[in-house]
Amino acid sequence: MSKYKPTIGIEIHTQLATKSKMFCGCNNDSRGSKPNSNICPVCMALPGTLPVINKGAVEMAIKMAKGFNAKVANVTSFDRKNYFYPDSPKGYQITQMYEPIIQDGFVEILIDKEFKKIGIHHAHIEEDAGKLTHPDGADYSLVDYNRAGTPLVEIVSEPDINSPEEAKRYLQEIYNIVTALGVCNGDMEHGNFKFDLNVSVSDSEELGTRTELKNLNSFRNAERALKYEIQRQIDLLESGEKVKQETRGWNDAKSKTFSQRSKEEANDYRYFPEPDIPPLNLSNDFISEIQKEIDVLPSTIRKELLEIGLSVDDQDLLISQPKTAKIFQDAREILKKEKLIKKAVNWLVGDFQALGLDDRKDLTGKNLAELVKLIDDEEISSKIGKEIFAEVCGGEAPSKIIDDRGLVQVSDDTELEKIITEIIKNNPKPVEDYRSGSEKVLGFFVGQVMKETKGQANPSKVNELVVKLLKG
Amino acid sequence: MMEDLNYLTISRAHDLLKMKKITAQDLVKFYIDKIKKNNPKIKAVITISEKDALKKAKFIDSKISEGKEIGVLEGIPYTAKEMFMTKGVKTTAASKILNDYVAPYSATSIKKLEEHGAILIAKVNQDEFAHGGSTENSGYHPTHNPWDLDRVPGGSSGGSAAAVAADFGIFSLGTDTGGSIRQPAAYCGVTGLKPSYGAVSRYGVVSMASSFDCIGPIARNAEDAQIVFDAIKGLDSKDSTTVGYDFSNSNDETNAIYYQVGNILDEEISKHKIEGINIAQKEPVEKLGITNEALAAYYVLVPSEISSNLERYDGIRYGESSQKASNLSETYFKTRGEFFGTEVKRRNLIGSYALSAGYYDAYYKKAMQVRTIVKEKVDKVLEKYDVIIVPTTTEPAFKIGSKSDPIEMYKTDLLTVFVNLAGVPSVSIPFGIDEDTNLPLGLQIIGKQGDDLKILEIAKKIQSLTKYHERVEGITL
Repeated sequence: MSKYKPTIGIEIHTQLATKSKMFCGCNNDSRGSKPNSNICPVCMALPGTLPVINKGAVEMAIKMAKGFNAKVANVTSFDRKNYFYPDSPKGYQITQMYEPIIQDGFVEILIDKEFKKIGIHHAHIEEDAGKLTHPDGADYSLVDYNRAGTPLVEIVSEPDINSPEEAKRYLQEIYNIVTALGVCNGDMEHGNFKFDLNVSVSDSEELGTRTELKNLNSFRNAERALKYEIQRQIDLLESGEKVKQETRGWNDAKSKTFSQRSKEEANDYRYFPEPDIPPLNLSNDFISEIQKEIDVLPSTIRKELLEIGLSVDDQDLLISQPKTAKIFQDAREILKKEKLIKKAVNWLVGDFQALGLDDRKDLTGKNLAELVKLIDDEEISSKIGKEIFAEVCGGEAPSKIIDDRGLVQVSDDTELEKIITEIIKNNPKPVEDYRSGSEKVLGFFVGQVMKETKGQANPSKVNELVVKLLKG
Repeated sequence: MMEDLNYLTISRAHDLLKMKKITAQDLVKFYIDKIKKNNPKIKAVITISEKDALKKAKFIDSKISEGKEIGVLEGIPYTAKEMFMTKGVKTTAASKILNDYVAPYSATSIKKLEEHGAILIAKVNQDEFAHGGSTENSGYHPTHNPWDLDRVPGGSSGGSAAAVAADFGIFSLGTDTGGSIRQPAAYCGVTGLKPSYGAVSRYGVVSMASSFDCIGPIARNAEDAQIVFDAIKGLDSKDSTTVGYDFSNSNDETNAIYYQVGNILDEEISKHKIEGINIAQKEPVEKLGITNEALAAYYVLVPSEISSNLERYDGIRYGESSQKASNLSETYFKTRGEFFGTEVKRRNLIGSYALSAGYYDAYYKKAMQVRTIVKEKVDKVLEKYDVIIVPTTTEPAFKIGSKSDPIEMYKTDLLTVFVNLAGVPSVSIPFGIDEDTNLPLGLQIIGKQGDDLKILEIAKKIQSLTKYHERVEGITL
């Protein structure tokens, strides 16, 4: 791969998590519905029906723009993409060709501990088509229009991506952003997040002929398909052949890309402005009103996590869980000191992840911060901390739990000395061992103290006092 | 029946109902009988909705007999063009592809009229999908002009204009994309209003060219047109292109500019001093300098939108589907090949060509620029003058079959099309009589966008003086 540089551009289709479809009032969630039960005259394109824009979808796109560091067009408009296919009830798809709502943005991906900017050319709103099925051996096909009219945002990157790994990181970053913003449910199995990959290779400044890998829906397959396709193109060039501009699919079982449609067979979609929908004026006031609702962006969290030296895997973990990231944000606000913030993050990437979603749903940033502080201030031991963590995740304040159960850590010297003296008196053998040079038995004494204090003793204090008293 | 029910206006019929001189059921029966008797000659009506109409009339009669107040449209029988969705009554757009199609919902305008108590008695003929200016392009049969059965009623709302002229109901709903209400109104000696673009909801009306289509009444006179317009106008949450116009109307002195078209109607216009209207300027229409350009742009833009709006008629979900198709592409080709008429196919081809890659800039984009210029020019004239007065057509109704060249047919819209490009309102009223044929002619009064009521007021004033709209001798029934 050294001689050839791959150039990759990606188009991502994200399904918006709106209540209703893009241009009619039908429910936007048809999972579990019978075919063609979630349809109306508008999404079936009965004669005389007209589309009406879903305001919620526009608001979600405006939020996305913020996530992509992009501009929201003050005047955005819709266009028709004309083609005949049974899954397209109107015979055209309403999309945005000329004035897309999101323009000129970027996201940053972490590659070798450095941030790389990937440009977003634009992102536009469009509607999904129905679903075709071809029953085995039948001389007919079936169409389900439940999905027809579902709002999508297509995100079109600049060709700034130069490796399968970068492509994967870019896809994950976009996924994290749209799910964190709550504008996409991110259910990849149900096609909430699909993508087409445009890839070419070249050994010069000039771009090579590209192929398009269509309709992928897993990050892993994107990376694998690109690796395969890049090698295939290099092999062709190396053997003196040309890359044909075409659309290719990914066969997961065979781990191969395969030719689907050549450029010559491409449709002329006869785009023109959608006359049923007047251009939409979006004032700056309206835009900032919507964007104000955004709590925090994944890119901001990423930078904060990077600052405290968290591993990339742990960064990804937190960012991919918008609710967890929010807890982190809130705790960070309270704790301020880096040392403490790190401890809070350790809870979140550790014990927190071991709990079931339902069991951890009531953890707040405030309670997590309180727990971290209590341990840091030696009010409780970390052992007690671990014991009560599940309850804290159930929504209880740590201070209340330890008050209710009298779990405050014993750090009082005289109190501890009294207990240790008693233990030394009752265990002459280990005392003898220690005094003849066995450091190992220290652990035994500390353990006994902890047992006696039900874990509430401050371990380092105990250690210090045990040594002092044993040495006599 | 003691009363003469022929050629009733809305207000006259309303008075008779209120005074219990007639019942709504009498009225419905009167029109349906008339349709049954005379429609074989005129062929304006495609479907009669007798049972439903009588049911509604009965309900209104019981209201009247209980002594309840009734609105001005209550019990008023009307017809609607085949473009309008009418729940339970066949809607074909006069196309074979929608043979026997019954919509599961009604158009907003039909619903509004229903809420006002008006009674739909029949659906009427038109050019297929409104593509034409004579109603000869109907997928079923041509309609004949009640003034001369050898002549066309105009189009595409020819069924509506012929129905009003033949007294098949008191008014009719039509659509006007490039003159389809005004031109047939002129040919049939009735009054037709093309409202401002967006004044009346298009929801539930088959789209021809979405950015041009307007819905409006064809009626006996301007007063009736105004009553119907009042009932159907207004914002509709189901049609994003509706506009919340402020239809306020000042009764000031009106300054008009009159565009002469040869000597058509010139004598009549000069002869009739119209009270309250001052013809401040008189110029040949050539000086406006946009009619030909508008027509050319229109026949690029409208077919473009048509080619897209008709894609839903694919034989997959509803309507006719070819029985000769054995795969998907044949389903498309054969269905559309068998069930679309020649003119519909022609416009599909023109539009698909104009929008295709490589031609878009030369045709569609250029035509859009012309559209902007036309609008600017019209708006500029209307800044200086309150209204434009111009004949509706260059000639009276022509003979059936006489315009076989599509370009000749397109030219019948010469004086109406620029109004649609500008989006402004225009009302055509019967005005003058063609000397050679004794047939009616029409005059347009064109106002600023949103001045719909103002032009109707002017039309009413003119009709209070001229009485051309009351002329019925010459109708050959």
